[in-house]
Amino acid sequence: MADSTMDSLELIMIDNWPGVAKLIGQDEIPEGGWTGGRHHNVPAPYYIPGDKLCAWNPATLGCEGMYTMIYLQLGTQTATLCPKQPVTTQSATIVYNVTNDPDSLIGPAAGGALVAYALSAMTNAYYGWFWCGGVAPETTCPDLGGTYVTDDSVVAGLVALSDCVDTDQMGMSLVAADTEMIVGFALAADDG
Amino acid sequence: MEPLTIIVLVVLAAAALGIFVDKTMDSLEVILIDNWPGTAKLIGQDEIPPGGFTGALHHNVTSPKYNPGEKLCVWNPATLGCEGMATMIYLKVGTQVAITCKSFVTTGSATLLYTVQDSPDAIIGPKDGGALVAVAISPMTDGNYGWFWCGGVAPESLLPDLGGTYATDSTVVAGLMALTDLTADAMGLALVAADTDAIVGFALADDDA
Repeated sequence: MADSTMDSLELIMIDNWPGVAKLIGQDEIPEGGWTGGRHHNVPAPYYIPGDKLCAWNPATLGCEGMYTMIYLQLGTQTATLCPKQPVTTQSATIVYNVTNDPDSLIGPAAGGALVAYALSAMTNAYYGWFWCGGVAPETTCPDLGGTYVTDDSVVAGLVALSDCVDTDQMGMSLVAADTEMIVGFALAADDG
Repeated sequence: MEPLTIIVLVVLAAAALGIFVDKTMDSLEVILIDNWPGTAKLIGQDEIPPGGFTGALHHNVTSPKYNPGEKLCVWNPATLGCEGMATMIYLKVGTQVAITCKSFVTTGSATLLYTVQDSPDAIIGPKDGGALVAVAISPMTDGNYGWFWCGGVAPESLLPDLGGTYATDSTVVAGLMALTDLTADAMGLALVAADTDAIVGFALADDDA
């Protein structure tokens, strides 16, 4: 089955990461926006890894609604990390260390629970923000607009993490087994 | 040979081979997923209840000092255990078998959601796969109220007794976990193995089987 895509407007993420996010206003978004150079893609963490912030995405771009961002450390990446690529846990000792490589993650390649999306390219071992819950925050992160990789199985309803074999990266799939965690909700079928 | 005798011999042989024998996993490898109703209040270190979560004013007390079901989310510093957020919930103990620190509890009343117990034989809902799960942070008295860990990393810096090992049924691999009825008369963690199992945690490594 060839990989497919779905539009950013159709994907609602469900946050399974530990703890609750702090609700913030537009004026409390980190300096320079989520990809600001002081805190995103930096070698030393500016926030505490695992910190979560929840903000409102205005209707300017994308779905209007709440979204959650989490501060994580990128471990090692396979193909160059890029916006809209999912990551999950890579380390058995540091839960907030993540990878985009379906061959080196912790837990199942299909159905893992702790999932987030990259906002930008990043350097190995650097820290930064990832989207992990709610609507895609396209107004503040326009690069999150567009299409997301799926394994061509998604229909409107529950989605899980999947190893999209065509491209050696992870993506979304229909929840299809009792060992798969629900990590999102699709508002429409993928593009088939 | 009688069928019953054969069954007994099979079970004994399985036990001798280590099948059905409970195992453990380290606290650093357990991330709990909070399925209890509502959201936790995010608090700073200076807002932790007086005396810590086991403070005598509010933990293991006969009259509740918080609303049963109230949840607080706090940061566990890297001093002990995993650094990260942990969620605590205020619950009432029903009739227990033997709650100790790190005992798993779940709903024990059909009318009072926040009354819990540790006996797999007296819980509400399935013995395997129950959704509302928490971990005791100390021994408690029947009928008393107190705090339980229900989400995120084990808050060992705040509650050092939560460090160490947690009971499993020896099936856990890195990934999703469910509640299970252990061979010992207690509850523990298992691999999610059926569509009737609620996912209550994420394992960062296999258990020690």
